[in-house]
Amino acid sequence: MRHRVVVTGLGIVSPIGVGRDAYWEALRAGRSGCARNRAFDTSGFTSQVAAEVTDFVAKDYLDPRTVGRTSRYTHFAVAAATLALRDGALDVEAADRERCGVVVGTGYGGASAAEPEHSVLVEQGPRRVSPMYLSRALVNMAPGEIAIRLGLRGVNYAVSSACASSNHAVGLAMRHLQYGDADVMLAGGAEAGITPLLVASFCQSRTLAANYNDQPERASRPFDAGRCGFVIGEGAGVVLLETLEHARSRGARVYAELCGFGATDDAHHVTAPLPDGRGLARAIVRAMDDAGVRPEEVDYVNAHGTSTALNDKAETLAIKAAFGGHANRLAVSSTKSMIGHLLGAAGAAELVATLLCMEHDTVHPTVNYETPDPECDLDYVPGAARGMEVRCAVSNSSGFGGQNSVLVLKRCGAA
Amino acid sequence: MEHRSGVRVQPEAVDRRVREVIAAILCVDTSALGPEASLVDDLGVDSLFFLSLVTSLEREFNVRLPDAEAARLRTVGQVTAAVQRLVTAGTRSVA
Repeated sequence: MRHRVVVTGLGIVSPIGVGRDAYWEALRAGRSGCARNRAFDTSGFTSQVAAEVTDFVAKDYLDPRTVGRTSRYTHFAVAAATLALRDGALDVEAADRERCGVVVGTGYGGASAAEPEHSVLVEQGPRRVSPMYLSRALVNMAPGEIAIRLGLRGVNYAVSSACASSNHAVGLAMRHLQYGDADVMLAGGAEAGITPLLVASFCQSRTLAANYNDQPERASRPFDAGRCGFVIGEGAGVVLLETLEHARSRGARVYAELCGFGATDDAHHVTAPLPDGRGLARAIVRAMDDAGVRPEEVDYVNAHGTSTALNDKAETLAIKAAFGGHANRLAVSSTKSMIGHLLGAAGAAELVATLLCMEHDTVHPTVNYETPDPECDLDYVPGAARGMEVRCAVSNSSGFGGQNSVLVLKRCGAA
Repeated sequence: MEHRSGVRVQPEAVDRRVREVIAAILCVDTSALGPEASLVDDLGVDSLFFLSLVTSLEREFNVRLPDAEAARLRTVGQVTAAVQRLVTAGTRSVA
């Protein structure tokens, strides 16, 4: 028998706010976190827009030495984990920490640490390279650091599937709880890739929005006919997951039941989705089957919705294929319209958004949806938030490499 | 005595700069870095931070501190003395 899994805490570090309340306030208001990229000099870059995390001080969550030996993605992850625990009011000191685990998804990890360190290697030689480079760069350092700080001695690893990473992380954490490997899991994703090398490569692959450098808040426009690429973002989302029994035993407040996970690959192309979206459609269907949820029970889909020409069209087709006639009755919105694309952290930030939509019986809007695209013809909740009951929600993610990962949540009235 | 910038520096300046580098890595004030301060017991330096400290000092002064010699360093005063000796001897990194 599988244990039921519930979400009991939310942690978020995003371009539109840190912490659950600030994040929801911005999502509900439709506020964009996209601005001119101030992370580095963008002269010569086709896209000069980014969604940076601005109101964040790493030393609020980590001691100064740890800040120095870890990289920005780890800072975000530790902060989001700390916020999730705080939100869930879980006293880890009192928990059986051998049954508490961590899974964090990331696409790039701390690879940005290579950019300055590689210059040291080339210009000054191997004896000048910092021994801290490893602890900044490795993709598993975020979950490792969370474990060290909190003394969580259960299952712990990182997951990487580009922009599908977070949903894989949360889905796998759910499985660990379902099958009795742990009682408590912190799961999500973290990313800090607004760096010259990564942004240049995204620019060169023509995936970033390049037509809105002078109107950055309009650059991320999922499903709109004028969309021209995504806006690179950064941040982290972590959710506190528990078995239903564990949550009940401590009287925890429950946001929702995490009940379905589906994962597939397009096996088609390294960057382009299958044009008909059937790889993502299969993941949605698998996730709903896993949850025991019929398509008609779903009220809301939090789309991957990147604002690229190819994704938004293929995802629209995927939703139609997975939901059939119910697709037209779904509310579908893209968190990326406001926070940009958090890459490996995207699914986690969007999971937190989805849970907040359920909590508030309000679906956040897709901003900048102004000119309909005949090939994107679902209800994308344009412009303004909508009050509506969200009893069951689906959250989609897809990544370069063809990976698709989908989560299903439903209201947990029984808990 | 020559700094990596090529500018001649005084022993007191080397001493001050060593303590500034240590302070930056360990996130402490230079006032905590008296010559008798123990790296492990007073400053909580672990093996990774110690290696990072050595690398930063080697970078800063363009010297090479052999591992065997580094392993004997216990206090801030011993670190500054070791760097002084290397700088004075004109030992240059061959890295």
